[in-house]
Amino acid sequence: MIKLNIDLEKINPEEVFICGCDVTLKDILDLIDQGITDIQLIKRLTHVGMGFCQGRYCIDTVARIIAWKTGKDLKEIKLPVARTPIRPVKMKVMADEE
Amino acid sequence: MRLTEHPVLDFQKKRGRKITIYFEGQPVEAYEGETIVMALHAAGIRVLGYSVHKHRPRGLFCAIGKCSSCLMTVNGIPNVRTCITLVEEGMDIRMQQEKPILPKNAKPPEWREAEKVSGDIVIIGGGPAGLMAAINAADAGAKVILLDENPMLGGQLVKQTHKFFGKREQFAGVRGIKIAEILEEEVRKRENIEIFLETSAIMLLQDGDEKLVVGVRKNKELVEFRGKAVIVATGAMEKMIPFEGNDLPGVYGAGAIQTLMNTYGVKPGDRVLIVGAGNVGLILAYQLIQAGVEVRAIVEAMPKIGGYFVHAAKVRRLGVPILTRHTILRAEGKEKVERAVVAQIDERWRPIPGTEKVFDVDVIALAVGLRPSIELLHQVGCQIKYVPELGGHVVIRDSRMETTIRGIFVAGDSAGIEEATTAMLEGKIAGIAAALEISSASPEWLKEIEKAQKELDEFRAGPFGRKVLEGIKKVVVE
Repeated sequence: MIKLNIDLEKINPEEVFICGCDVTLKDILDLIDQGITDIQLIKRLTHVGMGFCQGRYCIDTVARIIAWKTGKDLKEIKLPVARTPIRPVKMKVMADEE
Repeated sequence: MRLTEHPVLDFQKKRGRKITIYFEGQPVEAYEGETIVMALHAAGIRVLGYSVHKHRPRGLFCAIGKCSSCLMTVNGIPNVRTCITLVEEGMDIRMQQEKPILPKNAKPPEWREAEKVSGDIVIIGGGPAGLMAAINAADAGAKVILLDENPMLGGQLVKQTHKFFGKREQFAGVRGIKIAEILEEEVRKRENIEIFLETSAIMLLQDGDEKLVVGVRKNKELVEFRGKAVIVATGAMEKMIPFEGNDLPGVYGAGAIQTLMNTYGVKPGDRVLIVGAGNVGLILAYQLIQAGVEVRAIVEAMPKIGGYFVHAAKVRRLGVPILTRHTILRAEGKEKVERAVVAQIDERWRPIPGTEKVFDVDVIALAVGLRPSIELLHQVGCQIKYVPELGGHVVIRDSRMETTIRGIFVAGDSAGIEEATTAMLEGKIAGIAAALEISSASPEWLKEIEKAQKELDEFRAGPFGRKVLEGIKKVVVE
């Protein structure tokens, strides 16, 4: 079982940050309450994992929150697809302009 | 504030030439060889910018180029990771407040072929695993390309001031920082190892029988690395935990604090609360005290201390309370951490009302574990599996560290969270195994793999290896 020491009745989930790009615990919990527990979908709806860290900072926390809320085992929770480039690169660099 | 006196480290000798950089137009003292964020921190600057949507202050978090908290505009270029970018005389550093605007009349860039570098084995990551892989693969006859996105080799060894355990041939009794120096020297004296620093790997692809690693050097130059085999030794990333105010500047990963004080000699703050009483939390407490920083308390959610008893005893003797069955409830402060509120938790891990304690601290150190960096392996299509004993998602591999894709190997923390000693042994195995696979090594090298495998088994036979061994059983397939 996943243990997250959060007492939802006593905290303000809008003040808990899951991602450096402003996605909060509330954003994630609201989606889970609507039955959305797939990280790929959560990513599209909240932009979690789409910022500069490309999920390094946040995806693991999102997975643990889903497991904690749904009672699922972390093994059953799929990671979102890892795409190239695995970190943001300026288009100029990609085209290799001098 | 910069450290001048330290029982283990001599920063006066280490610091480069004094230069001046500019933060929001104001001059800031810096030393050549340090990263932008270290110089800013030494000058007391904690807030590096504001988030795009909610305008929350942002400060350092991981300090090794993996998260996104330190992005700033440097010499007019937005979104520079200032934790892995070195200072240069006269640099103009600005905070970011909103999304940088794309120039409206910019022309599309002209296409030009990227620089191409070929070798036998491409190794991604210059930490203990990558360095050992490079040394052994080179000795086994392979032409090696080694890349790392940091400006220096050594990975996380460069911040480890404590002495290692284990056997003599595994550097027992030697400090991590010294091991980094020894390995770097070994790598640099081998002519068949080509080193690329400040170079990030952004793609790993199969191109026929070859492997292609696309890299970006210094954020501005594309380089194609080609080899017959690739070893991914990309290390790990600090785990984050949810609590109120967890994004305030001053909430750092434990590793970032070690980078500040042990690599660059910058005092992380004056009063610290540590979350997590595993080995990292305990060693960090000791190192903070060595650097003259006050450690107010260590909180640990488990009913028992996770780390070695000797470390815990040492920290307690120095007067640091270790509160088990306690958790952090919130970080408070206007622009940066000013207080931490903790509480006791019950058997179901829920905070018990009325047990709150407030600590006046300016730094909260999260030592709640690490997670393997598997992005490249995941992206190229290696099979992955969630294994809690190894820190999270890891790749399936055989006993020679080869993944489910032929010619792609893994080593060190990116193969599962352990210690630098096991990372070095895994690096050795992966380096030789890759050299054998591309037939640059003679069969006698098999004995060296077996020797390293035996040493790994011995090292994991201790009480702390039990959990890792459970995890290994789940991911190693033949």
